[in-house]
Amino acid sequence: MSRPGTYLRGRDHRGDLTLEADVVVVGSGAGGAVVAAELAEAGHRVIVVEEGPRVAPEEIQRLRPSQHLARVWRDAGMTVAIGVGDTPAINVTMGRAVGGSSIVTGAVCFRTPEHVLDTWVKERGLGNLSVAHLAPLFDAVERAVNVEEVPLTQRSRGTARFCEGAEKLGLVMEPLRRNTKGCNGCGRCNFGCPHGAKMSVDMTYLPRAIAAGADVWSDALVDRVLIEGDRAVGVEGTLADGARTLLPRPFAKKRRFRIRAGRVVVAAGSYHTPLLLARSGVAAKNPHVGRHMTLHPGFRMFARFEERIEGWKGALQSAYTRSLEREGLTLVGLFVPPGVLAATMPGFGPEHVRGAAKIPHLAVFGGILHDEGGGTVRPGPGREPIATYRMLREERAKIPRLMRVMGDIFFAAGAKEVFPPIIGQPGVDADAFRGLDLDHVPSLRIECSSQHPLGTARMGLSAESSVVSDDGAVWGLRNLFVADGSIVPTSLGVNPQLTIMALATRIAWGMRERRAA
Amino acid sequence: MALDREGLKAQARVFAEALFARESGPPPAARLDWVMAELDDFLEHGGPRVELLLRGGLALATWAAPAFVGKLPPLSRLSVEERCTALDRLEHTPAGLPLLAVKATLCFLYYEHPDTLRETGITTEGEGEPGCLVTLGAEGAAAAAGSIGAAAIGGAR
Repeated sequence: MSRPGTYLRGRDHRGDLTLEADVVVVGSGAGGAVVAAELAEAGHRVIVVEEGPRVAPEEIQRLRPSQHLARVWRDAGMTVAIGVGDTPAINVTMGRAVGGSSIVTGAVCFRTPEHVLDTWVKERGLGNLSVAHLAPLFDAVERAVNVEEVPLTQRSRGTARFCEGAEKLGLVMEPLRRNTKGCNGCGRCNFGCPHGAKMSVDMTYLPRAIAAGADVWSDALVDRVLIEGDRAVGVEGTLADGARTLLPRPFAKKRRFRIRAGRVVVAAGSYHTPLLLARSGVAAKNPHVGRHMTLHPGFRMFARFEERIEGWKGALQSAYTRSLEREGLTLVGLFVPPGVLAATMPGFGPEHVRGAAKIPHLAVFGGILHDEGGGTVRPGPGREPIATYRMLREERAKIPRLMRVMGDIFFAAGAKEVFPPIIGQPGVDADAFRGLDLDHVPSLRIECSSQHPLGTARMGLSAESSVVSDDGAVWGLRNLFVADGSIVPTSLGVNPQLTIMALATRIAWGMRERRAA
Repeated sequence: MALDREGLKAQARVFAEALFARESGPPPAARLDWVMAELDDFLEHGGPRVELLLRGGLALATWAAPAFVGKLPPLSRLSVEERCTALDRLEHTPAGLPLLAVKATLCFLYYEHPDTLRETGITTEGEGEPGCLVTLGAEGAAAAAGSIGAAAIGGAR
């Protein structure tokens, strides 16, 4: 075996940087880390480059949520997809650090639902992505990140109450599975597990990659893929210098890096993979780059109970229901930090403070819509994209239905009032909730968020309908692959990290078998 | 729009005095000092787009909200009670969304202060160890912020 690799920081490097590797992986999240580990263990010289910083697990464990938010979430969690037409603005959250979005998830793991895989096989012609084909990949990933069922003893009181209400209304609640080891249910997985129990890729795949010789460069932003003729030959970019300023700094000396590699794997996520492909000239040849983005638009519901709920005690996410799958809805348990709960309390001053005093009595649940890919990512001013999202009329019509069903469940569980995801909306009791005209709430007043941007470089059978083939290769270019959420062909209706990891494993295993062209 | 960071923080403080005011008036000055120091750290690491978003929301609150109570801007000229009314009315307009970004950021920070947590009834006594939930305690938080800011992440201009 080769010497172990290491973590390196672009901001520490003096001058320009030139490197060579067999494979360069752009992005260190659920896709990139998996490819890096699988290929490094197969003997390839691998370099991973990551735009964000590396915050070591022991440092993450000491951060308060606001510090975590500012340091490892893209735009401190405030990235927005602009709603087009009758569509709410959507807050899209992503990681921007070594480990990518895997370090900001609630650790929820789902295999790709069978009905989704059937669609991929029957309607998209992706026969290699059947349940049988993907089963060994899921097995490997689940072993690697230790997927386990959340025990009932870790279910928070808020989730337990929601489950009681759901079951009274005939919905079947099921335990979630998560990638954890030694979780004690302290309820802050999104903001850095204080116990190192969340098995995100910085705890699993990246250490494996490094042990097998891969180097992981943080603070290194790739500007473009180097292409010679019809083949990718490396990447070039800029090393971060620590300054993240509002105004451009035209006279600042930039330190550049260039990595020559036999193969390039882009795994920068659904927002940045299409931008990188566009800057590298791929979008000019393929109109699907940056289009078809699905988001799983998500909505929360808070409910106040008479007794103290203390929703922060217990696993952050522990139960869900697929009873509404036919309607294109999935309900998933969660909790959010007190500051976020407080922010959604309407009003200012004493009214706000009175609302915040209800926090210990609040339970939270969330619901997501299965969507059809109405999002687009385009280059914006500076480095970041402009994302827009247009809901289909039938998707938009599901929002009041989702609010209604979550509210009804909480009232069936004994809630005194609920707080729908409507900006400025005070809590309402059961009678007032029944009278609330949810069908006519303006989109601008609806709180909506997404944690699952997918599909902007989707997988398919040809360049006429997709950006990459079913082995992750970009159509029309040799030695260029994509392995992240952007290749997911359709909405999943469930949390995507396991699907991304399984597809990345498939791509890596395929690359392992084939030499660079 | 306030161009420098201090100007932005001054606007944020005027906003926070209203947002977190109780019947007896604004929250303790020392706690707002702490929130503003945390806001500085948040902006330092959050990046330019976050700062731009917050500047936009605060500009709206500072210059547009007073009109909702028939007063001239800026917001700082209004009493705390008038600010609450003005911001509450602004929140119910389509401008409620950018206002939410400011409100969310300040709430995120304010509700991490140990005294705020205690007053709000959010307790973790006997539950795990420091670092769980949101509480590191002021001392632990300062130590974490200091060591990470200086050694691990950098971020100095």
